[in-house]
Amino acid sequence: MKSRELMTLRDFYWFGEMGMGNDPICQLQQLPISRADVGEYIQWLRRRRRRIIVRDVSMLPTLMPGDTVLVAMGAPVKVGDIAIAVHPAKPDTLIIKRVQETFFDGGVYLISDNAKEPSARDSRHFGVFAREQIVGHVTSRLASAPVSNRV
Amino acid sequence: MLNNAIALLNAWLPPAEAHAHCDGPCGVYDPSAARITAEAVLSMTKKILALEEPADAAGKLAYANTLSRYIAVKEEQAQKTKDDLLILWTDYFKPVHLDSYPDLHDTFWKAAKLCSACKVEVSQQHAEELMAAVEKIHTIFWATKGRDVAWYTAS
Repeated sequence: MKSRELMTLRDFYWFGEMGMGNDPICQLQQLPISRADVGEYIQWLRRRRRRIIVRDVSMLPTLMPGDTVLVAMGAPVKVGDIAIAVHPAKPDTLIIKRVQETFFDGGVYLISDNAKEPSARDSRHFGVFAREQIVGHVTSRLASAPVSNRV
Repeated sequence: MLNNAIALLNAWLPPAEAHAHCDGPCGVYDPSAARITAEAVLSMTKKILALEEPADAAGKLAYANTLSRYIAVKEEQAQKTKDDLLILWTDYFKPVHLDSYPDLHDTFWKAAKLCSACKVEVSQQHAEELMAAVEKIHTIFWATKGRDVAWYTAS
């Protein structure tokens, strides 16, 4: 084992801070998204939050397809946040992913909570996202998917 | 209650969508396609081996016709099996699966080689080995999906 001093930033997140073993896919705590409280509704009414609906399954178990979340647009993201980003190959598509690592230049490494799903696509395939590609982060869950939508 | 109100709002004023993005276009993989074609290879091989050449001229013509058709179908189905296996190998399986199945590459490589052997030869042994290889891939595939799907054959 390397000493803490010799660890890179990435090693620190992988083995040090998160302490979740050596599995490169499960280093991040997949913190759940809390329900919108009164403050969130007020922020929404003040147009400081955008309502966004989740599609697809790569953020299970945190977010179900059909969940509606509130998003702070343009705010900086930090490790552990769930970010909304522009798809690198499809500029009119938004994607939703967990921030695994941030870089000094604002670049962000995004990973799926459901990273073991082989079809999940994130920074493992797209590489680091530039700051300009990050449009915001999830601040609360406005509504859960209707039961019929759940998988 | 709030859930319903938001659902109504979403229906009335649809929000932007964010994709918890997955591979496109369909992401539907199933080793049963390879199983069906591999079964056809085995079936055609058995039929070719069982075919007997008659003595009379009309019989010979019918024999040649039937044999040609069996061979054509066998080769076509062997190629399809190979195509389906290669799609599973290169598109579905990911490096992470190698941790659990270190012999994954070897399994697919040998299965693809068996497809070629079945195409070139008339070998019941190789056709049966191909079925066994597809069954092994079936088992690995569904294990990676966390599902218990029993192996079965149509014939």
